[in-house]
Amino acid sequence: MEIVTSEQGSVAVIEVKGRVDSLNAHQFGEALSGPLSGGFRNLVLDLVQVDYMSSAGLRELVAAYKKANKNAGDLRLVQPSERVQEILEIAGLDTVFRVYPSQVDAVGSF
Amino acid sequence: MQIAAVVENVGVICDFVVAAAREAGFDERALHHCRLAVDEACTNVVEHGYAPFQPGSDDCAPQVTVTCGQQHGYFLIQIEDTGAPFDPTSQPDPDLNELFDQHKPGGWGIYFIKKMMDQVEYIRRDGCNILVLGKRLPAVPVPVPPPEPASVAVIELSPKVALVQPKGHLDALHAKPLDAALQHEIGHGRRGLILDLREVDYLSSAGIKVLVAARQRAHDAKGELVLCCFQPRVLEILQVVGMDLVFTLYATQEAALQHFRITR
Repeated sequence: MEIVTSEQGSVAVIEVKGRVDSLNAHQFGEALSGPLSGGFRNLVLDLVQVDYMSSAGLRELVAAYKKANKNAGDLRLVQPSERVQEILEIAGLDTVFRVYPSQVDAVGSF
Repeated sequence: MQIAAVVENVGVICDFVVAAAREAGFDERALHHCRLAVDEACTNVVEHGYAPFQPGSDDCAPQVTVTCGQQHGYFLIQIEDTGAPFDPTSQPDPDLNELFDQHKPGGWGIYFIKKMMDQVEYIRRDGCNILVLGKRLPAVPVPVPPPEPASVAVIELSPKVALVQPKGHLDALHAKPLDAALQHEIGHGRRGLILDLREVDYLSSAGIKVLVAARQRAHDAKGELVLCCFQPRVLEILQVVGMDLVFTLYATQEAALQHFRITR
């Protein structure tokens, strides 16, 4: 798993590549909670290049979403891969997150 | 396979099951389902079934045993552990509203297993948790792609040191090009050999024989052979036969280069 974080105005953009599973979910969670603790209210999470996510990753995703919401912010997604989309749907989370076709659209939505 | 029940091995177990499922003729989507189900089941075993194992303590690392087979039109995955009794089939499905109320969200793992597989059975027997996951075999099996023909690239790093990069299956049929390349390098005065195995997806006993012979040849010529960059299955095979104690292994190519004091 590779994570690249950048700032676009007042939005933190987190781009993840590879697999998110129980071995690295903790690192994934920290990448999401870091900007939220560091003053960013809004996050864009780009999962286009994530080809695998287990429930351990999903747990971190929801924890970050809750944290953002608590601070009157939001966590929005760039269109996830088919594999990740499927698990979001099975978990019933596909309607919870706002999903945008590109990073630009997601950042622009704030 | 039987392997220590630690989180680092979950990926190895998944690879093992996916390889068997591929042989059974499942397509990529179904293989993903098998991986996810096994990942979730084994993560539960290593995270909840056992007290944290202290490496270096006198206790044996707890083991998990995973077997794959086919019966009555199903592909079956059996996961057996000796941890605390735990019946995943008795767990309630996650409730989204509840999840968002809870302090720490979760509970999808077992739900995923049930959704991804067609059959989930749990038995507690002789102090073991036995979980059997079944997936209906495809009506039309996907042909298994033939293994990539083995090839080998040799890159000269210095007059004395070379980087050798084999590719594909290293078994009796395909280990010859590597054997020839290693013999050639040592025969022509190369004293330091780095064998980068990142593109080797399978290592058989014939492949291991080639490695051992090359190590001996290098040693006789006052040279040295080190190995680096392993796919999980390959590393597991090396460890099972104790080769991790015989060879000098490096996780990265950079570390192997440093062994010969080469910077790129």
